[in-house]
Amino acid sequence: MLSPVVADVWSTMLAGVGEAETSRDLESERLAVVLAKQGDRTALGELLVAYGPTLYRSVLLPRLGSEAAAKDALAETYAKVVERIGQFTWQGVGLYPWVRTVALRVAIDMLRARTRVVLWDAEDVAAELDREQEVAPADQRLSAMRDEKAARDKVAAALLRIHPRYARAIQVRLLDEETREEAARILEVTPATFDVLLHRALSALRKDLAGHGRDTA
Amino acid sequence: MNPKSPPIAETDPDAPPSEEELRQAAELREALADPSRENDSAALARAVVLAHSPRPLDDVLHRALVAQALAPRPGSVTNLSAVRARRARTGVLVAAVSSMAVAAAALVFQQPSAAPVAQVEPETTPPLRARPTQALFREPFAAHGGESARIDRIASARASDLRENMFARWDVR
Amino acid sequence: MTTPRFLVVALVLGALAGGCARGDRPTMHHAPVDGGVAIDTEVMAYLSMARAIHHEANLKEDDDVPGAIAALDRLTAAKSPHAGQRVPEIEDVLADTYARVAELHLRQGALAKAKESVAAGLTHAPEASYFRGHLLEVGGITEESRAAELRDAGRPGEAAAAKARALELLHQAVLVQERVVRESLAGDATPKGGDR
Repeated sequence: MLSPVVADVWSTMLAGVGEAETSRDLESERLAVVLAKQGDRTALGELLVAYGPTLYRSVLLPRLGSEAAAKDALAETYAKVVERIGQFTWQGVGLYPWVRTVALRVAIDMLRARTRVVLWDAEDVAAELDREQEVAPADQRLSAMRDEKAARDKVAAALLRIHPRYARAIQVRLLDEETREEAARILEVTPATFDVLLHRALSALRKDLAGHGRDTA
Repeated sequence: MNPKSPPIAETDPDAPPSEEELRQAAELREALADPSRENDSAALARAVVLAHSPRPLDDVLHRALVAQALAPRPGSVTNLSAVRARRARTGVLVAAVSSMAVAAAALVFQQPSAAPVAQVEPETTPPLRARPTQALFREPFAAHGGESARIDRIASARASDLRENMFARWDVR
Repeated sequence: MTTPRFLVVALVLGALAGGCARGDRPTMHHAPVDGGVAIDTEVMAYLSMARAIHHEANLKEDDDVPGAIAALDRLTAAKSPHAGQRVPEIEDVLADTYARVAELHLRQGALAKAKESVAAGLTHAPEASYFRGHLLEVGGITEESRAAELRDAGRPGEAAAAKARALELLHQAVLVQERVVRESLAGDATPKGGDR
């Protein structure tokens, strides 16, 4: 239960806080982390509010492929951060890289439990985490840009591996968000034929994704 | 293209479809318009869209998630980790689709759809469902006040249910 | 508050008073265990928001009653998840919120607004529960205050009518609460699946 004092502070704080755009220099963040580690939930909440939208949008949503799964993962990430904040050691690069790592591990767990083919599988994300251990952690904004670019690159790479006509169907209907009728017109087929084309395109993509991991393992 | 992985053999994209393909294409079209319908290709389609153009997180929902994470829990928080460690690696991850996701899906795919319904995916354990909260209160309410404490109790009880439902979806026992 | 809504409220209260004369016999239903909305992040988000807003009202009600009412009005105006589906927890929260708003209006002497809030709250608690009982009680207290106001204004006939409505509402509140207690003790009040 939130104490009345915390709840009131929440109302004021949450109303005005943006996400990555909130300017907070590293020292202010360090102080907030110190307070959070001492049990100050207001400070910890401020940090979560700042990072959450980026974690959701750039890290979890693309990898899990579902808004519901991403929300669950975000809730689980928060639970772990709250539980383990006392173990975090400040290393001069902010809290975000650590929180992002927690989120990726939650995503790995969730991906391992599912059987449905999506763009990422658990091993993709695990490999990504391993590679990142070798490089300097990036701040939130840069990290988010990299994550979003990686997601788009993954989509593009997958489309390059399937028949160009299938890739075009997916591009026009899903990525460009054209209506079914407009997509059919662009691909010079009837809407009913476009339905078949899109079905074949997604089947081809699923087959490729299911087999691609094995090829590159 | 990856030179080590020649393209997977595909049928001619414009070949006449079989009856089965026509049926599957129709199913896909319906599933794109209605997220409550189970369909692997539709799920992949949504995953592609979300990777390419991720949607922002609803601010109200986000505030609630943060508040929920910070609320003191009656049980030991470390139970979360212990429970997850026991989770088997079988089962299908079940994701409940929010009304926002339904609206987003309808917007993206621009199909006339039936009234949005919450997506129901096959589950091995029935989830705890919404129900009246009367059972949480053993005595009549005082004439004045007490509402805030009652809502605290309701939220606390249902937070516990939500965790149970989430564990059940992840096949945590 | 628009006129049509006020008329609806008046009709509801009138029907309630009339219904009270015949005896208020709300049914005791239990939410189905199967087929209802699952407790999910959307429901939880709403409940968390409700909790936070009530705490905000806690802080304001001592010296800023209009501010407390405004906060609670945000909750009653907020969009509920799972549109088109009844979520019992949210109905109970709204019933209690309207009861609290009514009490705050009472504190400020805004009896008409208190009545409207009670009427709105009762639409969220149609079945025998402590939530309904509490709303009826607040409604009775409101009518009692109205009776006193009318008496002071030298309108004894109307005052007597308001007093009669107050007594009936309070009587109905007692009946509802007694029924809940009785059925609770009999073990029938606990929904299948139980509550923790």
